[in-house]
Amino acid sequence: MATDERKILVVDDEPDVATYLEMVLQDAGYTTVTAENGREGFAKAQAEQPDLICLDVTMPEESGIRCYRNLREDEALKNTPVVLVTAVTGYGGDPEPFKNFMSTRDQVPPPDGFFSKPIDREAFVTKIKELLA
Amino acid sequence: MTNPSWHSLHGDALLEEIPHGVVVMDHDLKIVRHNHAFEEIFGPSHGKHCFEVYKDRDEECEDCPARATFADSQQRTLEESGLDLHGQTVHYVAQVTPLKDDDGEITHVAAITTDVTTTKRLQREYQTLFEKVPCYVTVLNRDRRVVKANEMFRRTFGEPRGEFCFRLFKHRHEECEDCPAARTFADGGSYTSQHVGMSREGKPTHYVVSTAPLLRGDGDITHVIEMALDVTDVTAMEAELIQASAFRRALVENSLDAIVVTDEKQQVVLMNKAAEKLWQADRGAVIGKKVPVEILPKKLRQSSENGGTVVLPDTKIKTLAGETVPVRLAGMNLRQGDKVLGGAVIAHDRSDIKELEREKITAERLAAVGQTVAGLAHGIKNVLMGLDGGMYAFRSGMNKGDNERMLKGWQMLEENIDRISTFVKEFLEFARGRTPEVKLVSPNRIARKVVDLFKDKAAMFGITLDAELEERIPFALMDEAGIQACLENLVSNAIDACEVGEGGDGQVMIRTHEKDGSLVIEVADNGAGIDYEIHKKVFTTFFSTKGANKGTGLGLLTTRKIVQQHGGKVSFESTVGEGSVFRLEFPRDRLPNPDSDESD
Repeated sequence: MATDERKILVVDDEPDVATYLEMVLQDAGYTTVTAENGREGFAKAQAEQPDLICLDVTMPEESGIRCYRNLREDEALKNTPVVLVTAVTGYGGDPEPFKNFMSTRDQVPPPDGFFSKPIDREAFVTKIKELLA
Repeated sequence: MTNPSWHSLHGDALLEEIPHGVVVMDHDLKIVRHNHAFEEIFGPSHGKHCFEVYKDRDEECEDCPARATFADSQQRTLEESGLDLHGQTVHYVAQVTPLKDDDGEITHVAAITTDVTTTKRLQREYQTLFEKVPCYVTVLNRDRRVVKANEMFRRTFGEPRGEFCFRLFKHRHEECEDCPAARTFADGGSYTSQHVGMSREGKPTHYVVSTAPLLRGDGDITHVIEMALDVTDVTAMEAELIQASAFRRALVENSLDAIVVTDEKQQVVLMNKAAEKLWQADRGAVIGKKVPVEILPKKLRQSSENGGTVVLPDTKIKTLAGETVPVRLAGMNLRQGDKVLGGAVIAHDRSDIKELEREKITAERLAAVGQTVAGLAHGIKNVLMGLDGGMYAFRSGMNKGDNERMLKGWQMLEENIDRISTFVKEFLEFARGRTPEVKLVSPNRIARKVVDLFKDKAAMFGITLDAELEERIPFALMDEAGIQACLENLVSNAIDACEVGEGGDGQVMIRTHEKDGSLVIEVADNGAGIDYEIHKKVFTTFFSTKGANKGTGLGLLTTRKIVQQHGGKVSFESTVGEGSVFRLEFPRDRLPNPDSDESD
């Protein structure tokens, strides 16, 4: 598989989840960096200027939601695609809670992708590729 | 008794027989004879002048009737006042008669004297009574005309001037149908009846009228005396009283609170509808009997013996059918001055409130379970993701012949399977819990026990653990092991927070106090504190900031569950870098009952 030089930031406090996502993305040919929480994620994003960010929502220190707002308000990062990968869903993967979150923050544009844990790996990789095409 | 001869009066026996005072005096007005009856009034008078005797005077009276009789031979009767032998005023009637000798010459004058002092007084008293008695007194003739009326009548109605009584009292033109005077005239009896008349101003006036016959000597009733008492005010007051009493009766009867009143012998005199219902009693069978112990329980009886009102805000009574009902019970002595007239028991059925409280606690518990299930799903998803990742790593490593990746995948699988078993174990513990064993325990003792348990562990990290307990915290109905588990969990968290905190000199403090009817237990630390984002998730299942290998995030949830089972709540205040205070508040009136089935 040809190596894509494009860089993806994975932000998740669960080490196993981060490792898994890294493997899948690396296997798809991307370079990866990781962060453990929202604060570190935003700092890494500013430092690394990734091409795409995979962001968990429920994390200690600073949540993915705060991080997402920061990203969208940052001049250099506001157009960087963000894919939320989260366990925060309703019963049976219902995206309702997420939609609620979006509707109460209408000044924030919706994220570019939304995946419920555990992810459908193929759909996930397809979406990443599409966003980075 | 015309011109009786001197001799005819001469006989002592005859003179003494006359029931009046008799004196005989000569031309000098000197008393030559008198009988015993006279002496009884004026004392021994023989040889004295009449004016000395009658009037205690030194000289003859100006218009002496005896002189007049000597002069004109006329008999005369007069009413006079004098002084009796005791110097008291005496009213007398004297009939002065000339006594002639055989030649027809007046030799002496006799005075037949009757003491009318008593009659006078009676007459005056009667007159005063008639005039001054504070009701309308009239004398009616057979035509029902008022021939005489007293002062009060005249003041109200003016001079009667022979007017018909029915005109005066009622403004009527004909006799009343139920005229009591007519009945008295008919049979001589006395009658009393109530009448509605009209005042001079035309206002309805209520009278109680009594009539009595005035008899003449021959037994004929020529007049009737009628007394009319104006009872308009009394009648109005009576009506008001009846209304007030009916109102009060209705109020008591329809009160939603059960009310039972006893007399001083503790016999039931009143029991309202609500009381009948609450105690499942038939009031017909209870009223008039000794108050049953169900209605006046010992605890109320004892405490109300000291007088005053006793309120037991949250207690239970047994109905006569043996059921238990939660109530607010009040007992009081009913007094008038120092005298105890009886007692009252007032009970307010709290079944509904208790039911609501139970429902609220259940709802809170269900909400906690709901949150737990949602949180569980969240935690399980991360584990599933980890398992997915492990499988992916293992398989892709195998495909690539990458042993290191295979190993990593295997590790991930192992770790997440471990996590699942930990979750399941802790979750079961949380969901099932232990059976709470509710009994009276000392909250301070639990606090001290937890301090003892964790003191060494805290010291290992250089953290001071201590207790600051308010004295005389009352015992509380609690599941001791459950509350201890809560405190252990909070203290353990606090020690972790101090360990992570950068300040050093870590301190953890357990505090107890009572506030507004609630038992409050606090665990405070000066550790890392919790920031705003995490604040919101502290009670979310499996949300842990301690990292993947430290804590499942169930601790606080378990704590909250136990506290909620006790009807209490958990709250906390925290400032990043300064520390946190976790507070358990137990309203005492919501604590579980040892005999209830609220435990699960």
